Amino acid sequence: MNYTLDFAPVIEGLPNLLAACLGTFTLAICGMILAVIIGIGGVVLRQSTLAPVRWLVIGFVELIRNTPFLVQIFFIYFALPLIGVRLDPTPTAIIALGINGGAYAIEIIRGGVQSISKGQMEAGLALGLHKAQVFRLIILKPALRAIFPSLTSQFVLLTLTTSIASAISAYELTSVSQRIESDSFRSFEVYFTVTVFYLVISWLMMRLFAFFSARYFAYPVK
Amino acid sequence: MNEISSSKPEGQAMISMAGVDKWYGAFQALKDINISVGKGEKIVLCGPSGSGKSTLIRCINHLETYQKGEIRVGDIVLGHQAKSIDAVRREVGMVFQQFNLFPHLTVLENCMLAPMRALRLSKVEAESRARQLLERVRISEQADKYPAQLSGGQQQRVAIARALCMRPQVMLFDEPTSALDPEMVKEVLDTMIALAEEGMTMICVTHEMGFARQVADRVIFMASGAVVEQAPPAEFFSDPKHERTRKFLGEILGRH
Repeated sequence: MNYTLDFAPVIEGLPNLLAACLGTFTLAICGMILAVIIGIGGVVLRQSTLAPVRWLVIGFVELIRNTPFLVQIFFIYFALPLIGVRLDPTPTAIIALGINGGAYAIEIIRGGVQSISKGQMEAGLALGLHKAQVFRLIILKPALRAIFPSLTSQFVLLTLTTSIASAISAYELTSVSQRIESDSFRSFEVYFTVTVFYLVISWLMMRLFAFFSARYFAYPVK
Repeated sequence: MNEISSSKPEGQAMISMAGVDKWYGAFQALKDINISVGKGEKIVLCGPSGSGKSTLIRCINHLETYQKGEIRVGDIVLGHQAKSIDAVRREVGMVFQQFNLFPHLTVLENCMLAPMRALRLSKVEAESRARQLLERVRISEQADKYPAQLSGGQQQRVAIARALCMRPQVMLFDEPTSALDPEMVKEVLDTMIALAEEGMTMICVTHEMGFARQVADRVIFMASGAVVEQAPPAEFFSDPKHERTRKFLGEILGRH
């Protein structure tokens, strides 16, 4: 073991790596926003009185949760252009992350909605509110609060999953570090640094979620 | 139709149920219910557990569907269409055993939500109405607290105020004191008595027989999904006609 550490290529590439961290952050945040929209929308459709609509949601969840993310992102990037849908790597990655995270979010948020007592819905209806109003104004917030820890860990996972977008050369931390590594052959130094960066990004995400939670779910419960 | 009109008392009926049947699958929860409640009348609905009394009042604001018969509130025929259900729910307030306050909203916000969203009142109007009714149930000093910070009795009084904020014609109470610690029952009953004295039309499912004696115009006794007997409280307690009523009264009064 006569390996001499040489961080010079990493330091040289630092501006690139930091910019790539921002890229990772952007993919993660945009993916999460899309995932939340799909998650909440999916839960609403999952409760539809029309059976085919419910089946569609169930089918979507099963399809996404039982296939690899790499295949999903390849499908969007390489297969969809054949039917005329051509997207750049970054939008592709965001959509793939949003769809993947959304499928998991549907199941998580649905669990939260089911944990809210039926009495809440009844009280809202008895006060003359419509079902949709009851869901939006009464059920949603306590439901999200109930499952927020699960959602947080799912979204930290989503943040780390952004590294798979390197397979289609989206602009993010893993693909930029691969470039530096293949130019310098400093594998240890590059991936050590990248590991630290991912740790920091995950930690920042958790702080962000904790901040959000403290702000929006501040009401006391028994 | 003859039977329906003959079951109405003098004056205009605020609520009438005619030939209402309800099944849960093969189990019949309500059997040919014919009840008429006049404006300003106070009804206490009692009976053993599983007799269908909660189911009955939950049909009036369509929290439960029913398969046969007709329910009217004022001049609205309830039916099963969203439009008539909405109209009825705006006229009928309900108080639940478990309070069902919204935990993420303050007491004031709990009271303002429906008037703003269902009646389209402005925020200013909704707030002044809410404060006025919180004052009426003597809990205005808790307006900015969250439900979890209140005692059960306080929560139930807020729930009453919240229902009153819709200015309902009728109030339904579904065992409003059953989930309360004994020392909190009185404050809720006092609130209900005050409401009764102001002339509100009320149907109360309750086992509080003292309340029934004090405020009810009529006590309705149910068993096995059917109305067995109805009478003014004095007569109901002193001279129950049916064996099942006597048995029930023996159990419930013997216990206290």
